[in-house]
Amino acid sequence: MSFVSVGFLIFLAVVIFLYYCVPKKFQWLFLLAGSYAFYLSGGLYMLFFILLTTVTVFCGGLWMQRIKDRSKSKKAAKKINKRILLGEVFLNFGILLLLKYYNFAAVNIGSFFGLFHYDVSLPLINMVLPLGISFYTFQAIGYSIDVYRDKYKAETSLPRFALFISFFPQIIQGPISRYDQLGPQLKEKHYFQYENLTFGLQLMLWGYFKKMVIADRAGVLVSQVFSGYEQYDGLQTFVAMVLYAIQIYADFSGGIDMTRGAAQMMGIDLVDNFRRPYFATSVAEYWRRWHMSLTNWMRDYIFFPITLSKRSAKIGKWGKKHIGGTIGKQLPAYLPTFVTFTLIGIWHGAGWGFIVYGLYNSCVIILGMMFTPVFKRMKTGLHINEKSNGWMVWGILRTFLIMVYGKTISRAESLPAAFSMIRKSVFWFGDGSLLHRLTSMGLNGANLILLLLATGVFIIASVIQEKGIEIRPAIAGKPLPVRWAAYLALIISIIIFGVYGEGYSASEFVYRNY
Amino acid sequence: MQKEIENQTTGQENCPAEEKTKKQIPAAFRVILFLVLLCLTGVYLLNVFDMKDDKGAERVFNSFYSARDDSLDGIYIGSSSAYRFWIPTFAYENTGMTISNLGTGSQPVVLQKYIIKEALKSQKNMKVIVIDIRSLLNNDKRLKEADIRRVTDAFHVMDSPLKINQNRIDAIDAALDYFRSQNAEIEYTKAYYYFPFLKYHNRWQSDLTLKDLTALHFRNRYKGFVFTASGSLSVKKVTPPEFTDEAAELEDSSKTEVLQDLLKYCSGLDQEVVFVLSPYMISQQEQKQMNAYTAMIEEAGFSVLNFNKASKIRQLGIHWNSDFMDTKHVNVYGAMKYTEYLMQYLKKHVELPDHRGDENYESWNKAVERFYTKLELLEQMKEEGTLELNFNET
Amino acid sequence: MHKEETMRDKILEIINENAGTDRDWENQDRMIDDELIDSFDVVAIISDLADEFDVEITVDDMIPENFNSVDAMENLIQRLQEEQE
Repeated sequence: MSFVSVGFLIFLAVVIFLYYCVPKKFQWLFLLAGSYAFYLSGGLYMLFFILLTTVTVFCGGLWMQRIKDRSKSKKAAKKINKRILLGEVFLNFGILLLLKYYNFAAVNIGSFFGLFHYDVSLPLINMVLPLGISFYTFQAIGYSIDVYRDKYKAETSLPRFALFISFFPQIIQGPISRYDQLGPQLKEKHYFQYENLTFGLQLMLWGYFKKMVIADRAGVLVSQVFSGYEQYDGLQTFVAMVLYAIQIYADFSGGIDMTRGAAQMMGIDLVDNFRRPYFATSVAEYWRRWHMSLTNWMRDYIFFPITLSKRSAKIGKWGKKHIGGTIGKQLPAYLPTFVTFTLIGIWHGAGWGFIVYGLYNSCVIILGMMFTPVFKRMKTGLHINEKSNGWMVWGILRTFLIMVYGKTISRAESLPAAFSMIRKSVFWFGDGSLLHRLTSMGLNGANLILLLLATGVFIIASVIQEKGIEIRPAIAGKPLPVRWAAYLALIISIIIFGVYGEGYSASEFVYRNY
Repeated sequence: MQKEIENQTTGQENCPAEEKTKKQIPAAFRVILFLVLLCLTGVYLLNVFDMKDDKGAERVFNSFYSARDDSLDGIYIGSSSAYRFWIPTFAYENTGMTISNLGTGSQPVVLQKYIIKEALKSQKNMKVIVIDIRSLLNNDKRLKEADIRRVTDAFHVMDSPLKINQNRIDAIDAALDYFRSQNAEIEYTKAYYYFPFLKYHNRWQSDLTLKDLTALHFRNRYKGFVFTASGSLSVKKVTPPEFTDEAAELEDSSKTEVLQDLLKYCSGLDQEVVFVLSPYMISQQEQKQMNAYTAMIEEAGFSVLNFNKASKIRQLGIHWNSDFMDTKHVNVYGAMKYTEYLMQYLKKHVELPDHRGDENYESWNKAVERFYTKLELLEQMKEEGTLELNFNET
Repeated sequence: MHKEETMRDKILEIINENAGTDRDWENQDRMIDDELIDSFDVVAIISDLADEFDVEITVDDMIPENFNSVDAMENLIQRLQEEQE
């Protein structure tokens, strides 16, 4: 069930209403039922996978806990638990890898052998990915690792754990929650609070605005240009690339807003996933603001473990001794950085575009790390004030551009297509008037202007938030006519300007050609 | 701790709803008020973003719906072949019969049954239904979505506050099924027809006018006759067709099926059903098809007035050089001649009351006046040369 | 200058080396939470701390509470030194 559907809105309304009607101690149980009902709307067979993950991780956690509690030697317990943990990881990540990447691997192995004229054609799996598998698998394994590390005790109730894994607002797009943050909230009794309802609803509305007015609209142009990229000139290509960066941000963060808004209406606080990523002044900072629950997961469960391992320490010592300087010091961080970002790229999907996207980010960040002292010397030499607004703006634009190019690699039809588009986008010459070129990419003038205005609203809101002002309370503090005007304007914008219903292509306005 | 203290001093920013001292209106009341406001806004938007009524179809239906129950003697349905030819006010003025025009541009035959059903809801005692069958000649593959919507968007969505107009739903389903079978290239998502707003909310980007923003619904002012400044006084010299009595072999089975369905439905009606084919510059091919359809209809027991015959043209007194606005439609002068003939025919063959003098029919008297007022005005403008006409061949 | 640098001084030195001298690290108490030092800085600092004080800092110690301030880091190292005697 898509969040952007009448069905979902009705489902949510019913769930929230009943949620506050059922006896408080059964609220979590009701949520569990609701979450599974939501999950089932995707298909019965998907149930198998989420249940498998839920049960294996739950049992693994209990097992580890029991061994810890009963063992006299911490070290021995850890040894056994490590095996249990690895078992869980292999099983669940194995399933994820298989379902998500098998076809990709099969096709590429076939092509590889094809180069040598060997005919190797592996059968392909014809199955839709279980809903949210990329998210709940990570969430479950994060829990396992936390239990292994003694961060908290294993959950003893299977249904409560099942709710943590299947909680419906976050099942489609995350955020990837931690058990010590979400678990207790799911267990608490939630009393109706007017503010939760209103603020949650407002957040959801903002999400719908971003998705339906900005993202889906930009998507029309992006789809058209990316799928027919040869026909468009440099400027057009560049515009499409930038709009893709806007689309994916509005789409994803809009979805997260719907998720968090829905959860808030039930009194549950899900971690935020975005912190105005396009305001970052470096790619490293960008990844601390974009899809934060994923990057934090990677940091805590991949990056830090690798960098703090004994081997890493040895490399560090070796580097400091034999290479010295910045590089020697950073050496142990290079591999984990590389691994982390490549994994992030791959996490997005099975395709060369995603892999290269991951590599691209790794390289940019590692190069940035390596050249830090060089850049520092340049800045002092050129008398550049790092704290000045000008420098900050430069950082933002530079980073945005780097990410636009990176995202193009992940979105284009193929790697050659991506490179072709990137190469083309540097030269902005083209035939015909500017107006004509801009309006022949799938969106007419009116839509382009609306997109610009809506994005402008988005940017202004982001600037306000970046300054530390929380928007919903700020609006709520204004006099009634002002706030109601704001809420109505938002709702009306979605209703009128939302991309839904009959057609956006010129051919749809057939009724005008009597 | 520090945070809590800060919260207390700037409490307004963080817990507005809980500060009852500030708000005088309790939350529940505010919510209801807001929802009411939202609903009103919604209703307003639904009325702004509706069909673009280029051909006046919505206005025609609005005029029909505004008629008092059981005040009409009949309806006249068809495409522009209907609404440019039959002048209800002229017929009323001369015979007292009240037969409203329910023609819409390129009205698909498959929808005609449903239009009749719709009319019967409020006019179940009407005496006669006149059906212009020129639409049978349409190439259904070339159907435009607008041709369906001119009818289905103009129908009321609800029969009464709690009752959905099922007839409209049936009409949409039937039309889409038929045109899918004809491979017409239109939108087939039924929801977009059930809920026109799903399509029309997009009108913000193209053709929304100030008139739309008033969300007012206008009615056709001549009981369904479409009287336009640019067309009705237009004069085009039309080449008289060569008439033939030959009939073609009817091929298209789904089209004849639709016609059979309509005929079957009409057979079950108490009303007198008269089929007509209004005159225009008809081709040989078209005539042959028409003759075949005519035979079919007559076989089913209905009378067909095919005006595309030399004798009929003479009886109408229509002149090809002066009475047509274009090759397909008569101008207002031709329409008056056409209405004159047909109203006499109907008077003779159907028992129709004479409502002239009946004080309940004041709206018809007013419509007659309006007609002549406009005619005089347009004639004056034409003489002065200030009227922009589609054709002005004399 | 002091003949013997205190643990605190050494820690400050390490932070300054890795995260820059622009800030007054001594008076910060939300270094991680406010992202004044990022993951890479943390890794470098830990590497130096581990070397300097001959302790093993593992992933389990990677919580913001242990690195938010100089005091926190000092406590961490003291604890680890005791544990790893």
